Amino acid sequence: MTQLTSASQPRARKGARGNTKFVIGGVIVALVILWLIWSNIGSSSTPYLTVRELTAEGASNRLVRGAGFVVDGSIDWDPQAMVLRFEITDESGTLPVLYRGPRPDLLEDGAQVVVEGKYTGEGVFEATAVLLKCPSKYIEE
Amino acid sequence: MAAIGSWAIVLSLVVSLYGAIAALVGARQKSRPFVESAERAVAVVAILATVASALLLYLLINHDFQVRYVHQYTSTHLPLLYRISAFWAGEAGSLLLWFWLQAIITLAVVRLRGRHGRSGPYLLATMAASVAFFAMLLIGTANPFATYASRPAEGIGLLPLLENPGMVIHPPVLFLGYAGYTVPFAFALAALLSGELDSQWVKAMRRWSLFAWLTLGLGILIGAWWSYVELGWGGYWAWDPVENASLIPWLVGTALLHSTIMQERRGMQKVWNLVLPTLAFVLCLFATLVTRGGIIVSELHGFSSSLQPIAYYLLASIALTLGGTLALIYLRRDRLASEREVGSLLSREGSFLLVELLFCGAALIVFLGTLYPSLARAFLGAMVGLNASFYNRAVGPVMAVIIILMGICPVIGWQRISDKNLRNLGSPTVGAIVVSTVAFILGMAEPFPLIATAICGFVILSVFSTVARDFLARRRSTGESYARAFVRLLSRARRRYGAYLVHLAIVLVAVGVTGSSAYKSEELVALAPGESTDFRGYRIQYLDYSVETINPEPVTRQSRVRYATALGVQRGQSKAATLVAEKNYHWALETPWVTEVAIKSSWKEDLYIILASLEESGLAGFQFVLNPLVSWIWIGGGLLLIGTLMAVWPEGLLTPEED
Repeated sequence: MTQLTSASQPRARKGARGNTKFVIGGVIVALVILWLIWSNIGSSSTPYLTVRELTAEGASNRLVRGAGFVVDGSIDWDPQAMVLRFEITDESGTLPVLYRGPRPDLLEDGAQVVVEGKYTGEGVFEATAVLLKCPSKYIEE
Repeated sequence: MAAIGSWAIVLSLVVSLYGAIAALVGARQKSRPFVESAERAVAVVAILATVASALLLYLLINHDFQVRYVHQYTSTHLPLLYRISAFWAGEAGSLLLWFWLQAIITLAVVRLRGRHGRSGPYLLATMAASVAFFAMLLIGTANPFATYASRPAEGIGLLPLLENPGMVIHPPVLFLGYAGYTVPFAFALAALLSGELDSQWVKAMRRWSLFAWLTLGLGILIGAWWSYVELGWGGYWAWDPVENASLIPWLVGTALLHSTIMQERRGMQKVWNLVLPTLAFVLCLFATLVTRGGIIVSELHGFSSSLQPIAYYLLASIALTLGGTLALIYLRRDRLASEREVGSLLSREGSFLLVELLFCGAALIVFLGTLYPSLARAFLGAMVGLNASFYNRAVGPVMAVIIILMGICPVIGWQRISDKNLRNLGSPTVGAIVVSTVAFILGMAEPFPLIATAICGFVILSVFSTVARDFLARRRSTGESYARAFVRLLSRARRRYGAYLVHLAIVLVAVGVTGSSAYKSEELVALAPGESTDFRGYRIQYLDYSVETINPEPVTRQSRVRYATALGVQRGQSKAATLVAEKNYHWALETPWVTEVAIKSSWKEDLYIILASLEESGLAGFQFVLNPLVSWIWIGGGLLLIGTLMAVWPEGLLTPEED
């Protein structure tokens, strides 16, 4: 064993010198990976805003999320045109939401909901996704 | 009777701990009797774990609702198949399954390892300790054999989403992968502890590493298939934390497969081959931490918002494993020097290193993305969601480069790239340009699918031309008949051609992913019964609808109102097929609505129909989705299985010069 150790020592030193370009290559690859993470994480993350923050910000093209509860009696679903309107509320205010698409099964008065989309500034949040809190899916799985 | 199960687990903990200690003592004192005693302990634990598992299965099948787990996950309405799969429907059962697989794999490692010199007892000790860890998890956090004081008349039932063939096989296959990754780690740790750091242990570990990689990979694919046919959102992969958590160890495991070859063939990357198995193992524990531990912040999922007891066990074992192994590697660093210089960057060594770095990089991207919302909340106090576009944009380019390398690597030689190698790369490159030009002329205009077509075309042409060159060379030199030369060629170097097959399988998966993400199209249509519509070349008629109540009494999760719509689907002049798209109202569930989609699948595309809404008048809202080339993902999975089996099948005539 000691022989093996001493035999590999000089080779290791020589190898270390030959390895420089590989270390540089590795660092470049690592930097590229970090750059991929850094440059995409901002544009792909959608901040959660409260209703007051949304209305204060006004019209914006930024994709954001709002979370709240469905206001009792506010759900207006047109099955022919597949247009869904409802209002959500949190501690800071109430926000009308417009969504073109199928009515989510779990959407009902008082349901806890997350809407993702853009605030148009005309008092309506145009949702591209309506996500309902699904309490048991992963706990039970 | 359930008490027998609990005691079997407690006894397993004692016996496996004894086995681990006896093996360690045997290793230290070079005492054969101690090691043999430890081997017997491992066999006893395998029997005890089997008894416990068989018992839970028996209780589930026979509706013993006094057992809490049986009560929670089954009902008398549940057919036999799903009473069996209810075994892994909950946390306690999943852990028991993992524990059982761990015990069986441990026994298999002990029986199959043959003589492993001084490292053998350490291997045995590590494996026995891993079994003890799972016995401890079961005892400490989730006992599947807990009982009620009295016997309820009916069970709560299985979650309807889990009533799917995919969920019968997905968890066992996935856990086989998780449990399997203990073995490469145990080999690495045994090599470090015993100091037998030559490349013998890497050879012995290789099959286990492939086994874990294959089962984990298939488990992930089956999970994607389940998500596609059962969750009813039109896709198969959502970059969900649970999916990500299983993908991360697989990516690291793929890097390990490649670094293993480097050590076997070139005597290089000795440190990598100790670090990567450790990481793969630790990341399998991390996957459980994500699904069960409560570390993920999400507004949408019902992940527990605080750390669960199991999280402390997992975090402690992750810290201990990482700290211990890294310290040992540091202590042994003098013995881990590479036997060879790496030569040129443009060599097979260079591309292996690059591929491993890229796989680790992809794993890092997915890891950080999964944790980002939690980290943002913990350190910035902000609620932030990260959507799928992050992963597509960050992981996509990395995967593209990896796939290109699959086309380059078989062609170029060790040490450096030769002129002949470059010539051999020429024709696939030209072929790829031709293929993507033709695709462009045929109407493919967007850059993403064009690039993907060029890359996939390049790899397929490169691999096929490599095999063709080998084949022609063999026929010239041996004068064998075509068929004989081909069979001989493949059987002489099964590892190599198995690997090519696996690479082609990955290309097929890439083709499916590209097609279904670049050319997916959807349409929302409201139809009254009898009306029809055209969608992407399909003539779809909404024939009729029906409402029926199933399993009304007693009320379980299997009790439901089934709203079914029948659709006649016709493409061109072909015979019309009738598809059924459903919505089910399970009134015992907190989230009562479960959609059952209708899928008409072909090699070219899938027509995927979701019943989005159904009014009392019969007016139905349908979401039609056309998913091109999805089938190729599942075909790729099948090829992955075949290629890997070809590579691991016991070989007779493999020489070290094979490559």
